[in-house]
Amino acid sequence: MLVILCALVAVGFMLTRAAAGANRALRLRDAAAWYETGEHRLADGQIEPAIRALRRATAINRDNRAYWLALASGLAADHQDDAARQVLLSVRAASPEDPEVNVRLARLEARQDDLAGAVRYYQNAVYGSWSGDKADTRRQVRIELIRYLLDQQQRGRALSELLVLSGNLPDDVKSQTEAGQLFLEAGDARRGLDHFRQALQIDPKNAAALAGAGEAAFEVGDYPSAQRYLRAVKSASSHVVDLLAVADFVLTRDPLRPGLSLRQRQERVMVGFRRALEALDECASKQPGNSGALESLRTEAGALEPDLAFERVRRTPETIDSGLNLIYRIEQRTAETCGHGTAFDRALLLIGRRYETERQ
Amino acid sequence: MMSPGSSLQQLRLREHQLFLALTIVVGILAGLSAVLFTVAIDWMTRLFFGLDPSMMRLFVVPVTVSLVTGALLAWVFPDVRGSGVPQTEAAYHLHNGVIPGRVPLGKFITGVLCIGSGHSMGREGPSVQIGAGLASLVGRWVPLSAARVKDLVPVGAAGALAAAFNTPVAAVLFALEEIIGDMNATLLGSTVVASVASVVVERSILGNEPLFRVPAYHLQHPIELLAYAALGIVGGAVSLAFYKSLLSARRLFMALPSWTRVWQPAVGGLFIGGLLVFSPQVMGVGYEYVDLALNGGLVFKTMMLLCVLKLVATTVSYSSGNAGGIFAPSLYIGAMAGGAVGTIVHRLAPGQTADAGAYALVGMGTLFAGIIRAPMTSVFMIFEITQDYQILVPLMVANLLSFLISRRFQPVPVYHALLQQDHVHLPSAATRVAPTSWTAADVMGPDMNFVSPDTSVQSLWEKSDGNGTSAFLVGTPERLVGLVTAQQLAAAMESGRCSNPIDSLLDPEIVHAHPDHRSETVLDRLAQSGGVLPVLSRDDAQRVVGVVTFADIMRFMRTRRAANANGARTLLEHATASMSRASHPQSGS
Repeated sequence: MLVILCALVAVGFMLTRAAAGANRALRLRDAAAWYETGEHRLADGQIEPAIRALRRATAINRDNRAYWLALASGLAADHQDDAARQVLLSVRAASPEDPEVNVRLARLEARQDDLAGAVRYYQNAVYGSWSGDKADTRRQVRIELIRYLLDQQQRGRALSELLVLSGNLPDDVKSQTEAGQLFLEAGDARRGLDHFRQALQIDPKNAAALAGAGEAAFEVGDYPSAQRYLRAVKSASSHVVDLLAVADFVLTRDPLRPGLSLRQRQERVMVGFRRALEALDECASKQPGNSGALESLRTEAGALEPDLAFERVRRTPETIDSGLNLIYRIEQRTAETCGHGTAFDRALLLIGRRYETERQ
Repeated sequence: MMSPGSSLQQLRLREHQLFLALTIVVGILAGLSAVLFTVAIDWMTRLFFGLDPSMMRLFVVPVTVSLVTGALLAWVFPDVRGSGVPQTEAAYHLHNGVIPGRVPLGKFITGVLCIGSGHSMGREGPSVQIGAGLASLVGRWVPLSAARVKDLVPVGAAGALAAAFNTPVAAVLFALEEIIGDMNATLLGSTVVASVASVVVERSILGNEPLFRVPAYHLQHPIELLAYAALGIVGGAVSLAFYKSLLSARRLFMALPSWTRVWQPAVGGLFIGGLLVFSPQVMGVGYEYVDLALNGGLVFKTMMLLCVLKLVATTVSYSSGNAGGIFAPSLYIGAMAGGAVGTIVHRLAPGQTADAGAYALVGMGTLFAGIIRAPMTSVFMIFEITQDYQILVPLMVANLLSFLISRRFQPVPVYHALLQQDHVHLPSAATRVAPTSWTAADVMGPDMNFVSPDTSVQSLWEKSDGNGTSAFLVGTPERLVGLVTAQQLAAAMESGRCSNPIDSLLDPEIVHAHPDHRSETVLDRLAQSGGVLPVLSRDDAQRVVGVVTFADIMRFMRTRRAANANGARTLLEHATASMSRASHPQSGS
């Protein structure tokens, strides 16, 4: 009896297993069909039906990571951030080092202004287990992290990531230019200039690299290089044109440029002084409420102006310094009160700032 | 030569070993049947509804299929309606574990059709009945002794539930707590073996995938226990609502003429079809929506709506006589109610409380404890699903409150109440456990005098005056309508209601005993009955199997005393003979 029973059980097991296997295959097919529907709906912007379809897909086949990620995308597109996070966290529970899941989580956290969470997930993604051919993707994620940090005014942390990025860059124009731009945005123009120069070694006429190199050189105060790079940019943007104009003014109007005679210096100071007074008047007319501070500068300028005549400068060359200092203070004040003026105004500000720095 | 005693002992030993082997076989069979049942429901659902059913299909399928199942349930398999758990309990306690072979087959077919066609019912109850039925069949086929056949029934039930719900420990507890009704049962080992065998089979076929994806659980703050207590109270209230509506709706359907029984499932199908058009989420078992609630995939309004709709849908599906259980629906309703409570709580105190998913999880256990009234099973079931120790305390708090509220307002557990509606009265735990000096079956007499319900008070009064009877049974031996006492007759005569029929005097609650009731209960109820206590069958509580009067008890006591005296004399003679043999060993046998 027992033997017959065992034989029956064995047959039953085989049959049940076959039935369950066939059923599983059908279910997987159903899940795939739902997934396909969901993806189409998502692509068509029909978010709610897409979510419904993708939920069905994930309910039938829980093991398919792609279904879950698609569902998370749908939920995020529908601004159901908490639900999307829940889905991603459940996928992440199975594979905590999954970079794609971590990146998506980071984006969700970033969208919710959770800096710490976003950085944690970005770093998990960057240091996650990328397969061999995904090095470029890893770099892109790091760049995404750097951009996010820059957006959040986290320049120091962005620079740390940039330094790591800098050491792992391929030798191509696009990557070097991108790194240079990021360094520039992070406030490290010198390193930025290095990357732009590397890019230009590969492609000397690359417009983006030339513009970047010009801007970086401008930022580090190397105006001749800036002028050279910026002039070489073909079909330049307004920003480049603007920078070039400022660089031109700095180079042509700087009274402290080596090799100038005292008369030339006095003339450049006088030109700058007059422009500064014009800027002061323009600003005072635009912002009558701030006329007190501007008026005192005007009075000071009135008192100094006779001393800037060549005869007096020749007797007391230090007056050049006083003139430069006043120009700088006027430009600084008008920039603070009325915003940046002309390219010449900005050039005067840069000249004054450098002079003040050197003097200190 | 082997003595008869030792051969009997060997026979028992062999049966014990055979029983152990059969425990494993039954566990595997129950597991296979549960897996096959699940797969068949899947297939049937796909066949009936396809991938993305139209509204018309959602409406038509339940009605049409219910016409077929209605005919099957009325004419071919009349004993497989509903869950299957109460029927299994009745088979275990009242029929020595005998479950006819057509029951598991019928339950499988009708269960697949009913649940596959969208009725809001669970697959666990039917799986239990199928598993228990197969166990009973195997036990009788081998054959085992009647007692062993009975023992196999909870073993099969545990195996089936373990595979159907993928929770082996909870299945064992369910078999002990619900089917056997005794947590100290000697069958613990057998149910564990069957449960393990069944789960091994189930996992080897379906894989070790849990039934639900459960988020990591954390008690955020000790004060959160108050929120779980609130969930327990809500769970208790929802359990009561489900309980009351289920029994009331079923009573309504049962009150309809018997010829309507064949159409009743279709009436349920019509209602469910309409509901599915509006809310297909309540279709069938519905675990995918439970999963969504557990993982934050449903908003508050949806969960509230689904909680109410599932309650209504299950009430209609079950009470209209379809084949399917209330195990899964209670978990579904619990998850929705818990999720809704969790959403409110989390909105009020986001820092101190967990997400709604955690409450949905505890809610499942809470409703189960309130509806099914198996508190240990409910705690271990959720514990097994989560495999997280941290959930135990909140779960116990919520479950206990729900259980207490439900028990306070509805003392009879739902499965027992369903059986009572079918006039089946299961023995209480007290009746089952302790040995007694005598039972109603020992003392009851066969002399039963019935009077017709339309007999007038006057004529019965005259009759009682003549023969000195203190109470009369009203109705027939097959259908007892009530009991009327001499005092009631006297009171009616005094108030001038002489010509009234006696059924106007009848109390709706008939004081009665069952054959296994102990002496204390019999004496207590005899005192209440006015001197004539009807003894009713447990599996048909309208059928009178005997009557107990004080005279019957006196007669029984005299007989037993005489028998005891004879027994003592026999014992004395036997002892004397033995001593005599001992002092004269050569004097033959």
